[in-house]
Amino acid sequence: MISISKLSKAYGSVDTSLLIVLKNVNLTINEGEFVAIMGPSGSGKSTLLNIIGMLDNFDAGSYQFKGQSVPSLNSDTLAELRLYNLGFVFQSFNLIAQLTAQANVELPMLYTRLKKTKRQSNAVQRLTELGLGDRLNHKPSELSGGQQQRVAIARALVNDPAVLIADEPTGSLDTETGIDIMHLFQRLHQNGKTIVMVTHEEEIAAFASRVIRMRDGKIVDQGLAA
Amino acid sequence: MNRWLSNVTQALQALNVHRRRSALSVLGITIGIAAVMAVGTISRGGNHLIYRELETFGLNSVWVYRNWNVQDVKLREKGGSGITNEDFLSLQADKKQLGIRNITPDVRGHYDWVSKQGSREVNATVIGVGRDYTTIANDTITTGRLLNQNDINTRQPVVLLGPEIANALMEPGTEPIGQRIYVDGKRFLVVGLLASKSRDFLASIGSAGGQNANDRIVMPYTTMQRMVGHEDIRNLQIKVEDFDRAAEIGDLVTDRLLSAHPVGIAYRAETMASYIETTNKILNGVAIIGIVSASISLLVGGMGIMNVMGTAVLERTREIGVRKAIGAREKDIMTQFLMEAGLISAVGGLLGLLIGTIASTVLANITNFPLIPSPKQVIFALVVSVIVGLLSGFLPARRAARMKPVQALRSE
Ligand SMILES: Nc1ncnc2c1ncn2[C@@H]1O[C@H](COP(=O)(O)OP(=O)(O)OP(=O)(O)O)[C@@H](O)[C@H]1O
Ligand SMILES: [Mg+2]
Repeated sequence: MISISKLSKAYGSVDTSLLIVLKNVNLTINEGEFVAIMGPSGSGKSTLLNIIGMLDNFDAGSYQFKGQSVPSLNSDTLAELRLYNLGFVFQSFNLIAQLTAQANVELPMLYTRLKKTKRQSNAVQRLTELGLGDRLNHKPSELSGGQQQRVAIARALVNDPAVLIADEPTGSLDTETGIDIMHLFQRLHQNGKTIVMVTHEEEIAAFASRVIRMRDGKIVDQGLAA
Repeated sequence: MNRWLSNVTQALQALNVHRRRSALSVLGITIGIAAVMAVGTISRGGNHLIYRELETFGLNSVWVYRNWNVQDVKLREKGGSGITNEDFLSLQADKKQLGIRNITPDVRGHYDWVSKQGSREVNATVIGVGRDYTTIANDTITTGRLLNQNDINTRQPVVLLGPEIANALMEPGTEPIGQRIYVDGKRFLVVGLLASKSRDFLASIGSAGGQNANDRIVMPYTTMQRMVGHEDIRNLQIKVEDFDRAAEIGDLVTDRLLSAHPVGIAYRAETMASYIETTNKILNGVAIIGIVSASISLLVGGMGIMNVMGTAVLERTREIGVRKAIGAREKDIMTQFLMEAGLISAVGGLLGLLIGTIASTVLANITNFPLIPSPKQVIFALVVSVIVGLLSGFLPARRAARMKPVQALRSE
């Protein structure tokens, strides 16, 4: 599904001080895997995840997603890949404050050809599955952190993407709520969803089927225990 | 369709969040469009009015006078108007070949003549004219009849009264036709009542000839000549076949007069074109001032929208990032922000139309201009307002559309 080799990324330019954030990263993620990326702060986890999510570009190396070479794709194609193949969950939820839970979940479907009634029923169904059937018309500010993250997860899943990408999805939640979210991820994983998640917490990473460790822009452990 | 609808809904929601700011830029467009409407009303109404008033002189008119305003004293020594009945009759006989449709002499009575009926007295403008006078000056009668050739040939003591004179001289409720009146002590039979015509607007802008057209007493020029005791014609009024040849025909006529009176007299011909030019200049002035002020308000409105959209893009950078992560293409983001900008200006445009219509009605009432609605202008105003919105929304929208997703997401 995801195949990265010799990938590098740096900030700044050669003549100023060049900050190399990713060095020669090789990574393969297969369909159905639940991968956790761990490592100290500043080690490049988010940068790598953003590249995997096609939100950021890189300087050298290759990245193949479902057999397509990502750097060669134009912005419309990337948008379409994100629309149908990638779902994002962020540490800070990133819900749109003016919109209700249901409207937030409908958002990704606005960019598809789905009919309004279908968009509405899909959103209601997703939210109900995640236990938010009675919170459809609440604004994000009227929901708890855990509830907001569930809305975000519903939004990430609503177009049924191949890969769920999550950058510290439990980072803003208390331990208990975080564990709840991880039970949810586990269930998704059991149903075959590919998940790539960044986390600081071993307790959270423990839910993954594989843990990758990074340090100073390099992968130091692919987590492929013998 | 359903997608457009949800775009509009989203745009409305977004604008609703920043109501005051949105309202301010709506206002700019509103003022601009209202100004366009009001100016349009004034210039269309003014135009209409001026032409209607100019028509009371006859748009195809040429006036031929003796020219006293000359340097050469020899051309001022000889007395009289320099236009005789023979001149008139000979021009009338040749009118086809001269390109003249109608021609009339104009002989004026003394300004201090008193016209009376019983104890009622007025100081009217008394004019002696030919049969075609009413045709040339676009006069109609409300009751009675016009002057005929027999009145002129036999110097009949008959008159047509302007409506103000009829009101002033006649006992209220009496029918003027068939009544006798005295002009400078001579008895006349009223045969016709002239319809009212307005020259108020021309008078109000100080245009020459803007005097009242409703206080005339009109009689056969032959009768008038007997009253004043000479056969001079003050001036000739001519209606030409072709408006564009008016000046040329004026010259032909003065040439004819010069060859009949070769010594000691100069002539001048005046056409309606000179009046029309002056009044058009005034109207164009109004229109230009209006267009400039409307453009300024539209510009201000446009800058307002640009500002609102620019701020919106900045404030919603994170939302843009989220939408891009979710799968929005550049053109989806572009559409979203253009829709908001277009909506602001469309609302502004509609409000402007409403206020402009009210302002136009009030203005038309104050100025007494006719209110001439123009659907073309309404459409134009709306199209302009939406274009202003889209143009001023374009740069901020493109900035939003081209944002890199990671950078947008990182913003606070
Ligand atoms: N836009 C940027 N410009 C310059 N440097 C950047 C930029 N984004 C990230 N970096 C740097 O790249 C390095 C890696 O950042 P990244 O966000 O990937 O770390 P991380 O492993 O996710 O850390 P954390 O655990 O704190 O989230 C850091 O040193 C960071 O300062
Ligand atoms: Mg990070």
